Amino acid sequence: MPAVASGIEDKELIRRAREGGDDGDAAFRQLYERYVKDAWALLRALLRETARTEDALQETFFRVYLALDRVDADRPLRPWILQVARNVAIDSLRVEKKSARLARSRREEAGPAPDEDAMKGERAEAAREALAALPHEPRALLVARHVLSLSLAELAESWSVSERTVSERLREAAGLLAQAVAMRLGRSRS
Amino acid sequence: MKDCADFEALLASQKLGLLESKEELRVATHVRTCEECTRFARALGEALTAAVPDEAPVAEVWAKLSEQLGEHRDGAGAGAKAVGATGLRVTLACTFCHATTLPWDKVFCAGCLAPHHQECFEEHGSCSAPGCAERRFVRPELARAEPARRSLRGAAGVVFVLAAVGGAGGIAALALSGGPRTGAHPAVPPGSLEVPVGDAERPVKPRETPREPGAERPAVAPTATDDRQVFDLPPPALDDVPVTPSSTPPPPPSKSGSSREESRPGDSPSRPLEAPFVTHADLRALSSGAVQSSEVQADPIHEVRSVPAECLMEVHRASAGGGARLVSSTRMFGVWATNAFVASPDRRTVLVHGFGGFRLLREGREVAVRVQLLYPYVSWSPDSKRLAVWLGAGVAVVEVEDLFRRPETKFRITHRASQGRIGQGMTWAGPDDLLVLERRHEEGSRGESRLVLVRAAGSGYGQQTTLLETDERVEWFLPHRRSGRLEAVVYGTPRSVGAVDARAGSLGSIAFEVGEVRNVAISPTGTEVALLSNRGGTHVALLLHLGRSVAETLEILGSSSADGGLAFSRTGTHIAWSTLLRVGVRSVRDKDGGFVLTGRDLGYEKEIGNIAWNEDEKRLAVAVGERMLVLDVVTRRADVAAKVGVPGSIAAEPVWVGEEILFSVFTDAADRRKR
Repeated sequence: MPAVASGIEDKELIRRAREGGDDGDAAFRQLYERYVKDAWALLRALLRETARTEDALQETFFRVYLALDRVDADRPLRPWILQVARNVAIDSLRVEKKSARLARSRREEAGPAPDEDAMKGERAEAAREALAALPHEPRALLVARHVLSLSLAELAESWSVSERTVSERLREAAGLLAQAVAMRLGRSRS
Repeated sequence: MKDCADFEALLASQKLGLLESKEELRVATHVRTCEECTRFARALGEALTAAVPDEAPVAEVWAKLSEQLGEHRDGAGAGAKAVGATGLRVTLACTFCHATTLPWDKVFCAGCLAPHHQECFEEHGSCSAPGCAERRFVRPELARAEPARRSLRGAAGVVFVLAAVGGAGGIAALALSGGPRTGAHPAVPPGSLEVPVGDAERPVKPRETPREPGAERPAVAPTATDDRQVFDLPPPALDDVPVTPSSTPPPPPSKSGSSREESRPGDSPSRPLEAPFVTHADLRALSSGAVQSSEVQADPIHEVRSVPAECLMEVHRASAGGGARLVSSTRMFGVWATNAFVASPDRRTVLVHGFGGFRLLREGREVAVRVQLLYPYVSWSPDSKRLAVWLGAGVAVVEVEDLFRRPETKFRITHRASQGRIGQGMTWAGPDDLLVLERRHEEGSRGESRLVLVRAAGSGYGQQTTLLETDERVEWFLPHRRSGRLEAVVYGTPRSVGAVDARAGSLGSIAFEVGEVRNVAISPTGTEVALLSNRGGTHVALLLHLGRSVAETLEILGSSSADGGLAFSRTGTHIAWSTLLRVGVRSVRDKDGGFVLTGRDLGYEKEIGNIAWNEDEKRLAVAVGERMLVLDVVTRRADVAAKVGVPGSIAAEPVWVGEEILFSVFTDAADRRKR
C-alpha cells in the first residue's frame, strides 16, 4: 500500500480516493483516521451504546465513501462528515424511539426505581444523566461545540443553517442542559 | 445569594463560549460571590465532560469497513474504481415519507410489499401505497438478530441490486448521484432480503383481533409463526391521540359580542390612561421573596415551577415634553427575555415575559404566571382580552381577566403542532383566529413549513385551515389585516419572500435574493414590506412594494450593522428604520423625501435602539443609549423625554400612549438597588 504523506489536504485525499485503486484506498484510510475520532465522539454521545456506535461509525464512513464522488472538495470536510454521522445516528435513534417509548411507559406503570432517590444527590452521576436526558439535537450540538470544538461557522455548515440560527440553537441547548442539571441536582427554584 | 436561577442558562452558555462581553462580566461578577452557582458551574462542566467518550474507536471498525467496501466493490464488478466511479446506488425509499429505508428500520406491507419505515407504517395506520389498505406488515429477519451490525452488510447487499419495477404500489428510489427519486413500483429484489416476504399476488387480509377493554396492548404484536413475521398494527397509543378538544373541556361559548370589539387600524387607543398605569412594586419585596402567585396548570409535558430571578424589567413612562417616572418593576423569570415587553393593543395591560413565565400588569393589578415557555411566543388578541401562549406542545388561549381573577386558571391547548413539526411562531390573525407557523424539526429535514389558521374561539373551535405548505423553511411571516380580518400573509424563506391570501390562495413569490432577514415589518395598508437584511455580508434596509412588484434599497448599512428597528407610520405613508449607528425616515412613495441621522446628529453619540411612531406621524420615539428621545421628523430636532441611567438597557419597542411613551428597561436588581 503506497504511503500517503501526512498533513496532506482533504481535497487531495478526496481526489485520490475517487481515483480508486490501492492509492485511493490509502487516501480513504487517511481520511478515516483523520475524522474517526470526531465522528466517534458525536455518535457515542448520541447513541451511548458502544456496539451501536461502532455500527453507526461503520455506516457513517461507508456513506462517506459512497458519496465521495458528490462531495464538494472545496468545502470543509469535517462538518460534512459530522452531518453524515448525525444522520446515521438519527436513523438509528428512530428505531430506538418506539421501543424506548414502550419501555418508558412500562417503567412509569411500575413506579419509580427504588434507588432513584438515592441517586439524586450524587452530582457526578446527575451531571452525566443530565446530558443523556437531552433530546438528540441539542445533545449533538453541545457535543459538537464543547467536545469537538466546532466553530459557529463549522456548526452552521454542518447543520445547514445560518450562524445566527446555530447560535440561537446552542443557547437553547445550553438552557435545556442547565435545566436538566438543575433538576437532577435538586436545585431549588423556589 | 439565593436567587440564581437566572444564571443557570448563562453559565451553560458560558461553557460553550457563547456569551457576549456584557454577559460574561455579569456572570463573572455573580459567580465570584455565589458558592451555589460555582457548584452549579462545576456540575455543568461535568455534564459536558461526560460527553467526551471514555473509549477510543476500536480498530475493528476499520476492518469491518474495509470488508464492507470490498464487498461493495465486488458487487460493482471487477476492476471498478471507488464508488464514485459508478455512482449508482439503489435503495428502497419509504412509501410514506420517501426517505431512504435502512435495513434495520425497514418493514414491508404484508399485502403489497411496499417498503416503509416501521414508524411511518404505524403513523399512517395502514399501508400508504395507493389502493392498498393493508394494516399488517412483514419485517426482514435481520431485525431480530444483531440488527445494526448485520444491517451494514445488508445495506451493502441491497446497494447494487436493481429494483424490479412493478408490483402493487411500493416505491423504489433510485438515488443516482443524489438525483431525484423515481416513482417506480416495488421492488423487493430476490436475495436482497434475508427472509422471504409476502407474495404480492396473494395479499394477506387484515385480521381482526378482538381485545378486551383495558388489556395491555403491545405496540407491535407478532401474529404469525411461519417463515415471516407478520405484525398487526396496533390502535394508536394514547399519547398519539390529539388532546386538543377531547381531553380538555370545550371552551365556553364564544362571547361573540365582546370578541369582535377589536379596534380597527388607525383607531386611537380605546381610552387614555387615567389612573397610574400600574403600581410601583416594592423593589425590596421583589428582590427578596418569591412572587406571590399561584402556579398555572400548563400542558402536562411541561414542568411548572417557580423561578426566582435577580433581574428586573422596569417599565417607565416618559412624557414627550420631558420627564419620566418609573411605573413598575418586575422580576424577570428568566434571562432570555431581555426584550420581552408587550403592551396590549388597547395599551391598558403590559405583559413582561420570560423563559419561565410571564407577568401581567394592569391598573394597579399584577399577576405572575409561571409556565415553562420553551418558545416565548405570546400574542395579544386584537381586542386585548385574550392571550395566546405557545407552551411548546401547542398554543393555549386564555382570557386575560381570568388570569387576574384566578391565576390557577388552566390553560387549554387549542392547537398542537402536527407530528414531527414544532411551532415556530404564532400570532392572532383576526378576532377568533390564530396564525401558527410549524416547521419540521428533525435533523436532516429542510425545515418544511406549514402556516395554519386555527380557530381559537367561537364556533368551529380548534378547526384549522392550512394556508401554506412548502418544502422550504419559512423563517418569518406577517399577517396583513384589514378591518381586523386577515387578508393575506407575507412570509419569508431563505430564498425568497412570498405571500398567500386568507383563503390559502398562493400569491406566489414576491421577491428573491433578499438575503438573511433580520427584521421585517408590513405596512398597515399591506402594500409595503420593509426588511433589514444581511445580503452576502452587507446589511441593507429594503422596501418592497408588493402592489408594484418593486424593491428599493432604503439604505446600505455596511457590513457591521447590528439588528435594528423598523416601523411604518400609522397610515403607512412613512417608514422609519434604526440600526446601531443611524436612524432613517422617508416616505414610502418618494425615495428622495427622507433623511438619515446618526447618534451625533441626535445629540448623543451612542447606540441607537428601537423606534416607534406617534399617532400624529410627525414624531418618532428613539432609544439612544440610556435616553429615550422624541424626534420631530419635520424639524429633525430631538428632545430628551427620559434618561434612565443604564446605557444600552432600554429593551423592546417603545409604545406611545397618547403623549407619553412607555418603554422598558432591563436591569440587574443589584445595580438598581445601588442606583
